[in-house]
Amino acid sequence: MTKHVDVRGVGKSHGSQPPILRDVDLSIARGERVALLGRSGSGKSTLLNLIAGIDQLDRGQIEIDGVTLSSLPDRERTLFRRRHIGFVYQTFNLIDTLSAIENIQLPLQLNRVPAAECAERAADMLQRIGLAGRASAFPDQLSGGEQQRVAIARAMVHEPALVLADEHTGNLDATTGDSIAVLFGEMADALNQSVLMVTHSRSVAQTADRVLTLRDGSLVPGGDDFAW
Amino acid sequence: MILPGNVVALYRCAWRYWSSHRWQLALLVLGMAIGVAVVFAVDIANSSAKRAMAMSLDAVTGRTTHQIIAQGGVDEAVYTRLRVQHGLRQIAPLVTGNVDVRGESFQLMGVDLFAESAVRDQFVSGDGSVAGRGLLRLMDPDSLLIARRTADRFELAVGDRLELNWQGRVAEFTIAGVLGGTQQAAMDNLLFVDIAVAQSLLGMQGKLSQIDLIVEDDAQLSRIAEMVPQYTLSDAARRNNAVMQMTAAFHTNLQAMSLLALLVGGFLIYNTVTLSVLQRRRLFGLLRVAGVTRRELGMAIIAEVLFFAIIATVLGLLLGYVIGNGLLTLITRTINDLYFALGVKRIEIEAFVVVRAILLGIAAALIAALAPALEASRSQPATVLQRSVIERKTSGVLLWLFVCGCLLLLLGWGLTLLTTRSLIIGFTALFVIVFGYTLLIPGAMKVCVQWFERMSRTGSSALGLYPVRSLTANLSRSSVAVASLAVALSATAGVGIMIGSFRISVAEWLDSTLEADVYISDSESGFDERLISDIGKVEGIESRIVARAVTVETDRQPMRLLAIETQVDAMRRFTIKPGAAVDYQAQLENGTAVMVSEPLSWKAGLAVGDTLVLSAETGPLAVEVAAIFIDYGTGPGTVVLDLSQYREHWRDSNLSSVGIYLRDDASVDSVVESLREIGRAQSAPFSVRATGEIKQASLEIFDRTFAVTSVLRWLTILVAFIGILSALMAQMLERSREFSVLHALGVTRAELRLLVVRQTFLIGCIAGVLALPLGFVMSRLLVDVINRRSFGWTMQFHVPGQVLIETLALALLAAVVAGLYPAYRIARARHTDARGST
Repeated sequence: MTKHVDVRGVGKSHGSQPPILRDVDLSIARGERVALLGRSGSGKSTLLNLIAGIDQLDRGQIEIDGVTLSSLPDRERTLFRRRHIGFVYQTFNLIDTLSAIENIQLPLQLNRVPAAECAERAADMLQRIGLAGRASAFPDQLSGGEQQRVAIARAMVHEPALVLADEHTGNLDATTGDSIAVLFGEMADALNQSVLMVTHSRSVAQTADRVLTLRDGSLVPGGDDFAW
Repeated sequence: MILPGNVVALYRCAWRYWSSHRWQLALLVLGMAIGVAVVFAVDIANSSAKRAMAMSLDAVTGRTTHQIIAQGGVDEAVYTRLRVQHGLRQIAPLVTGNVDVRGESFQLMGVDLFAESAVRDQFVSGDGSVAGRGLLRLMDPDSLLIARRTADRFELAVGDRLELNWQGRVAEFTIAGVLGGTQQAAMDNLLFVDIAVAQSLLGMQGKLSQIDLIVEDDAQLSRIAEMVPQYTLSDAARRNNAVMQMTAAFHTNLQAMSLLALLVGGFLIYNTVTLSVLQRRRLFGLLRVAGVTRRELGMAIIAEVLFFAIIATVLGLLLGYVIGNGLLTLITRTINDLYFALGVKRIEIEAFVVVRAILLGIAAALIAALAPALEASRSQPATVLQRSVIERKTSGVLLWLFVCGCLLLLLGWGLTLLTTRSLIIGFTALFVIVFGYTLLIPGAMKVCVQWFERMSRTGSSALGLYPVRSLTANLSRSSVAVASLAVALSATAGVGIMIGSFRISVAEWLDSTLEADVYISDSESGFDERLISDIGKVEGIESRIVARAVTVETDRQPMRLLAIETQVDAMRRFTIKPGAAVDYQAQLENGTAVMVSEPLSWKAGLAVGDTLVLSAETGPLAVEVAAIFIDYGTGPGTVVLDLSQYREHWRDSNLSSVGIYLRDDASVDSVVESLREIGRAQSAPFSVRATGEIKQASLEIFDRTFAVTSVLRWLTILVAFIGILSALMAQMLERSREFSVLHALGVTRAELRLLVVRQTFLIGCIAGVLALPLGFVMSRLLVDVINRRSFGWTMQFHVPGQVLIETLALALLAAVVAGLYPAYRIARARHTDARGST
């Protein structure tokens, strides 16, 4: 399997505090789904931010599709993220002032997809997540589960090769969370996307191809000893 | 003092909140401080100027109770007769006029040293007065006495030389002594010379400006009146009061302008406090759940605003003192130009002015904080947690705001109709209309934003819609920022249109009034007809018109009497208001009627058909008002009479001005030079000026008059700018999570910056567009209500396109500049945590 994401010797600290990531190595193959476990404050979100190019690492190197993301300037990293990475958050983070379909269209529009195609692909996405009738609803008119569906659609609509999910079921009840996890997995599979997802849910972790735990700033395989 | 635990907890929360929102706090305090500073600055500058004026008048008046005055001056023989033949001892002659010294205006006092102490005390008061030798030296033809404070300011000492300029005539004097102490400001603008010296310099040989006297009782007053039947015996206090009244409207206008800055400051406070409540909605919700009562929550907000208001007011007073010093120079210059020689250089702060500024600042802050405090305290614990509830409420109250706004507009309009004279009610109407209009702004803004959204939909991305939608979603906050900017801009547009209209009216009035090519003018004593024959010999003169201008007493108030040749073309230079008697020109020619200037008609309540009694030398002269003419003079008002009638009733054949028409081939400069040569040859103290020069000088004075208004306008804009910056900063900080999400989705920092600037651009567009109707209404009120009630002027209404463009440009500039820093902050922020709240 070819390496899609290659994280080598990454270290990161916040200010004068002890390093939150010490010497992280991680490889994700194309289409592979990796679950990342770890206690609160262990550096899971920091690692996601570094891989997405939102934050800058102190040392080491991150390559995605052969591009050394860590060596790019901020603007180039942002443009790379725009094209190749999707992000799903625990708190949905839809833009309050945009409707469901406008939220989904946003990544397509940022990637300069023609308007007609934008509309078509966003409508198709809405259909796939079962919210075809809620296109013009605004975030505060949607339930938590519906908001997360829209957020997943927004993360995947431009078909990025890599999707990063930060506790994407953490704010939902167990039943809704499970259905969201299934939807998320199905859509990622359909698009052959690589996935790195931070989770505290055993059932979500079980949908992954591989489970890693972040402990003392380093990654260790498996999550059997994780306190669910 | 030990505070109850709940109070400590609430204040700790408030302290922590503001500690982490220092920028917002700094802008809140700065905005409030500038609002207070403007009011305080205008107040202290106004009161200093008025106080200096009153002191100066008192210094000139001294213990005088009455003054003998006459058009063209009082014959000096009258003084001798009263003193010697009638034995009056509490009596002194005075020759006075305004002179320029080092670019400043001073009142020259020509006094009789030996009689002075009977009516004035300046030579024996203060900290030791003038040495006897200094006083005696005053009798030297080139000696003068100067106030100690003025001497210190000019760095002059006894023996130094000083140049005086009277209407272009320069004379040099030696300082013979200094008067008063370092704390005595009353004589700051007075210069004392011997009476004969003043007569010579001011061209009043054989004449006195007035005879001052102290009258013990009515019986003595009647006796004196009988001694000088041909002269007017005027009440000194009444005359002083009339001078003070002339500037009253000018001061009131400035005060109203400063209150506008405070009003905009009030919007800023409302906006910032509302934002702080919105940002703490979660905290307030938690506090309510924990058992904090509504009252405690509301009081906590009021208390924190009160605390900041006190700090801001103290800062405002300090800043106001600095601004006040600058304004004083401008106000003094205007008073000098238009009304009275005033040399006040020092701010005098009265306790009540400080107290008033403090009360105004704190009251404005508390009123502005009341609504957000009530909003927070009335909410249920569950709903306080949801910001959208507040936005929904805002949308819900739009209709109510619209209805209230319309009612206030109607009330304001009704107030303008209530009375046609009260200036205070005029300003109240203006403020009610401004406030009413601001209530319409949220609704109007929603309409504007919806229009923008419709426009943006076609071919615009979701990102393009974002700034528009953000405005709608944050209507409660955006609309206050827009309202404050719109009010400040409307003041700019309104005052700009008013000044533009006024300037055009004055320029046209000058064009029609000053028809001749060159004008010769003189002081009140006038020059005699012999000059006319000399003038006739100058090459290039085609024709001339003559006039006599004097001050006369009437049955209503002192007036400026202008006697003209009504049978010649001189009449066409007057713009007559509609409603004049059909045969007013004929009535004027036969001396049965007069024309009065519009300001005089307004102030004295004179209408066409009314009778006016003028105090002529031959006795009271009753004349009918046949016409009212447009006039933009600032004095007590003018009454126009036929010249031959004047000569007959006042037995005065002198002239005050001659207008000269030149032949087409004549050179203005060479004629002016020839006329000045005649003046020098005859030692006649008249001034010769080309019409263009007079017009230019008049318009320069006009522009200087409104310089202070411009300063106040810019200060108001500054307060609004701080308001909009504060609102944007708070909005941007609150939306930082959204910006982080957008950045995570791939929106570059440059694009984020652009988003912020686009949003502020929209705010500027909306504020600019909404400011124009209010600016237009404000200008109409200023032109038709305020100026009319203040000065009695009616003027043409011009809406210069330039003002409209400037207003829009200013709106965009203020908004975009205000957005630059938030945009910079957003673009520089670390967008690593899109999960946090803010």
